[in-house]
Order: sequence, then C-alpha cells, then structure tokens
Amino acid sequence: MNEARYSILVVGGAETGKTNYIIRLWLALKDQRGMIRLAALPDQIEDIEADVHRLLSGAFAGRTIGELGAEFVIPFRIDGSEILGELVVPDFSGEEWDRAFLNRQWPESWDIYLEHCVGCLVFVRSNVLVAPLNWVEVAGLLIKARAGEFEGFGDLSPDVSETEFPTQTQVVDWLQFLSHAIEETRDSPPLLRVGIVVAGWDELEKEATEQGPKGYIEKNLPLLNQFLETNDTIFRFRVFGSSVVGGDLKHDDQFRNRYLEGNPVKSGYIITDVDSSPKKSKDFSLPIAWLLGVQGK
Amino acid sequence: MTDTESPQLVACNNPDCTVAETGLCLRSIDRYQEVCPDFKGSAIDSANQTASPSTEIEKDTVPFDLAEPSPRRFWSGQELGIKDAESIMRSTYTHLIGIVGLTNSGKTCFLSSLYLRLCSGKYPLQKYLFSGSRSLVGFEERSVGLRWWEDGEMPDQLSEHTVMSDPRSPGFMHIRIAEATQFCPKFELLLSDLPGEWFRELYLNSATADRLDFLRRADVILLFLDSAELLDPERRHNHIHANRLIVTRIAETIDVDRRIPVGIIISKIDLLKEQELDIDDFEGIDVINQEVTNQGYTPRVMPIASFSCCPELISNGHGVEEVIDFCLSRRIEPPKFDLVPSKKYPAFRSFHMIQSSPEQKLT
Repeated sequence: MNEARYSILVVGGAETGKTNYIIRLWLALKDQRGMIRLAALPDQIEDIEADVHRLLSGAFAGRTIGELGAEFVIPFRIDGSEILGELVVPDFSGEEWDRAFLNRQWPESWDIYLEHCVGCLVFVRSNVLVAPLNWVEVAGLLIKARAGEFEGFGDLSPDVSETEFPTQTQVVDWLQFLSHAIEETRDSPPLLRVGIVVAGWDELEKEATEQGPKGYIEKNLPLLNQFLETNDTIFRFRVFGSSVVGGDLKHDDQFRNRYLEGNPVKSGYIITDVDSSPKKSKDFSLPIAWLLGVQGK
Repeated sequence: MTDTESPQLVACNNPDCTVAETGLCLRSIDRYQEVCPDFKGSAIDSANQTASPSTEIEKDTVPFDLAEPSPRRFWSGQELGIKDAESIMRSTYTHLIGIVGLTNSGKTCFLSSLYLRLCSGKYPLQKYLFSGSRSLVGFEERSVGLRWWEDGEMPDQLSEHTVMSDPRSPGFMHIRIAEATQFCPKFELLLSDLPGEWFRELYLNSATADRLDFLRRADVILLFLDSAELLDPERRHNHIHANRLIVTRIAETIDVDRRIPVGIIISKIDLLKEQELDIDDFEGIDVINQEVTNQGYTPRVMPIASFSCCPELISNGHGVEEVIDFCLSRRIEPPKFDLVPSKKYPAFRSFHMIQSSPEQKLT
C-alpha cells in the first residue's frame, strides 16, 4: 500500500489558536473515533506531548509546539478504508507568518513543504482579529487633511513594521504568496484547498454564531471572502468553526472544573456549515479530512 | 588570494539587505557592486572584522560566504515599478489606467476609495468583487494616510522595481477585480500613481513628457479636476488653465492615440453638494470638456466623492464604481495595417512604448 506524503501548512498570526488545534487534533487522532485516525505512533512525540500535558491539566498551550523549524509527522489512515498516508504539519509560529508578511519573504526551508502541499488551514480568532479599515475613520482623516487641519501625513508615517494591518489583508497576501510559490515549484499546481478555521468559536456572541462560520467570514473578513470566491480556479475553500475545549480554561473557573471532572479528550467541537446552517461535530479531524479530499467538496 | 590572506566578505549599507550572505541585492540589481547606491564597496576583513572602504571592487575577486540559504522573496506589496508591471502585463491582458491630475486633485483618494469599497463591507461595489492585488500593503497605507510623497527631492522617473523599504515611488497600483456575475470574468488593473508635480512640470516643459510615455499604452486616461479649486474664484481659472495645458501636452507632445477614452473626473463633489451646487454651475468644466474634444478625444465627465464630508447628501465613494465601469467599457482594437510592426512605427500600444525611446515615437 502506498503511503503518500501530504503536507498541510498551518497559517495564522500569533495567538490565533493554531497550536491548540493541533494538540486537540492529535488527541482526536489517537482516540480513533474520527474520519482520520492514527495509523501508528510517531517516533518523536515529546514536543506535542508536553503541550498535551498542559491541556489535560486544564491550561491552553502557550505558543508553537517545540522548537521553531520543527515539523509534526503523523502516520494516518482513513476510517473505513485502507488508505494510508503521512501527514506532515510544519511548525511555523504566528510570529514567523507575521514576519513573512512584513518582510515579503519566507525562509527557503519552507519551500520543502510545497511539493506535497495539499492545502492549508488558516486560523483567525475574533479576539485578536484586526478589523478592516473603518471607512468612517479614514474618511474623517482625509477630510481633515483636505481642510488643511493636517500639514501632511508624512509626520505621522510610522515604521511600517509598527503598522497594524487588517487580518484579512494579511491572510489574502499569505494565500497569494502560497499560490505563487506553488506555481513556481510544481509543474502542475493542484487546486489548493484552504480551510479557514474560526478559532475560539465559544468566545463569539450568540448572534455571530447563528450565521455560521461562512457567514462570519462574509461579515468580518469581506476582502478574504471575495478573494476566495473569485479565485475558484486556484483555491477551493471551506470555513470551519473550532472550540478546542468548548469554553474558557483561563478565566472561567467553573467551566475549568467541569472540564477536568469530565473527559477532556472528548471536549470541544468543530462547526461546519451544512445546508447553510451551522452544525456541531466532535470530530476534530474533519478539517484535515476535507483538505485531503476525503470529506466533501 | 594566497593562503595567508583571509577571505573578504562584502557588506551593504542597507541593514535589510542580505547581499553579504546571499549574493542577492535587495534592490534586485544584478551589477550591484557598480550600480546599487547602497553598496558602497565596504570590504570587511573577516580576520579583523573591521570595515575598510575600498576604492574598486573587482567582481571576480569578491567571494561570498553564503552562510544562509536565500529566502523566497515576493513582491513588495507597494506600487509596482515598470519591470514589475511588465510581468503582469505579459501574463494576461491588463487595463492600464492613466491617472492624471495636479497635486491634491484627488488621485490618491480615488485609489483609497476604490480599495475601501472593496474591502470594508460597507458601501460595497455593486458589480465588482476583489480578486487579488500585488499592492495590498500600498493600498492599506495610502488609505490611512501613511504613504504620501515625501518632502524633499521628488523622484523624476518611474521606478523599475520597488522594495518594501522604499519610500513612495512613482509606479502602478495593481488590483484584480471580478464581475459579480455567473462566469465572474476578471480584470487586471494597473492604476498609475504619480506625483501631481509631474503634471505641473509636464505643461510647463515638454522635455519632461518622456516619463509619461506610458500613457500611450493606457486603455483610458482619467483627468482629475479638483472641486475645491473650482469653488474658489481666485484659484478656479488657474486650475482650468493648467488642466487645459495638460490636455494639450497629452495630445500634442505625448501624442496619446485619439481613440483612448478620456474621463474628466470632478473630484470632491461633496464640497459642491454641501453648498447646493452642481457641476453644471461651473463653466470651467465645459471648457476642459471642449479642450479634450478639440484635441480629438471623446471625453466623459464623471463627478465623484471619494470621501464625503456630508454623507447624508452624497455617500462615501460616490461615482467610483461608475469610473471603473468607464475604464472597463471599451478595449481599443489595434488598427488593421502592418501585420509586422516596423521599427519606425512600433506595434500599436505595445508595452515597450512605456519606456521612452525617442527614435520610436510615432510621427
């Protein structure tokens, strides 16, 4: 049986929930209940088990697993079939992704994952999301400049690295980088699957969750939504919601106690849009299954 | 180099440039030792690690210690230089929009307004969707007033390339939009982003016209008139006069094809609306319209309010979509003669006409 190698990039700025999702995914794969299951225990699991220890003790992981530049290699099988493969998840920190955007480059070492890249998971999180430009504020600034209330914006120009760019702008550029790099690397670039994961789904207001993950992106990241919808010859995308444990381990003591008294391995959920309405699932491998083309279009 | 000599490393005065490690100049200049203004030929003696200025750097005697592999570099995210624009124009038909106008006439605000209408979710465009851009960072920075022409010496030529750390450079803002229809056709747009001062210098001195040669490749020209100037009786007539001269230079000196559509964009019409005025109240607009017509072009007057001081009367971004409609409405077909373009008469509106070549000007 061929064991194909599939690399999946995990994209997102700092504190967007990438690491905690990977930890939760690892627990789900090991639990052997999802669509994607662990085929064999990887040789090296020291780094991820350190973060698993934190999560099972009632605390979120702080940052990227292990050393920068590490990768997580997971032998997997697909439930109900004999298909085997090796999932490679390189460990790029949010800070590295931020630097890639600001410096307009990424390390050469990232390119080795392009050959077998089937797609990426892009993480956004509401409490660290930088909103799109506020039309009213921009109009106000420019009207003032027009009226001569500013001598010129030159005095206000900060170092570009201090500028806080909207999340949607960064994500679009990351995807453009990825598409461009794959096109340069591979003879027949595949349709790149992009799973947008709205992490911290439990942190959202009820009204925001009612519109589902796709609706959340349409409303809060319109530039990204338009970009993905109009580039269907390059990308295929799907939006998921994710809550790693189903609540707030940091600030909600009651929830934390319930979590520890219960079964942490079965906590949390993934939200998918089914027939335009949000549906909750316990299977954390669903986004991966979709990236591999196993689950749905 | 003898065994007793230590290898020399070279360095660059630009702290962001990794040429010492990679051999690749941040400005993408191949002959950087001779041409790059940041490369001062500082030779670092690797044994003593002190910098000593060198007078001559011989290419073949400068080995590099390639300590780290070179990263994968992407576009700057700012305005595109000529060479950057070229790569886009080679891959697909690209609408080159020549944005013309004096300083403060609303050119940059138009770019910002277009971008905001695409990205903000409020006042979205009705017919178009955002589909990509190589100038995202530039659009963001312009929209919050962070990327303006720097005081001091104004650049006098279009850039060839831009890098992240460059100050604002004359070039092209790139954006791709898609029609919000079933088949979603896409349009690549390159919108020129030039200092208004260039157009003032154009009408004062025809010798400065060469750097605007790209207008001969433009699919459409947008001439911006400033409502604020029109409102002021002491400035109105000079504004009209200057713009008439610009139109004359575009026609007679640059010799833009008469079939290129010309949009006369009346910017900041919120100022007119606030005073219950309309563009019909200004004879000067008719004067410009007539000048454009007399020069052989077919003009169309379009009022816009990129940003409105009275959104209850006229919305933010009013007229911007109509301008885009105008820009995409026609595609000039080449004349049906000379299947093989001669050297004397270069291929109609071929890209190389962007770069000034006096011997190739149409006669």
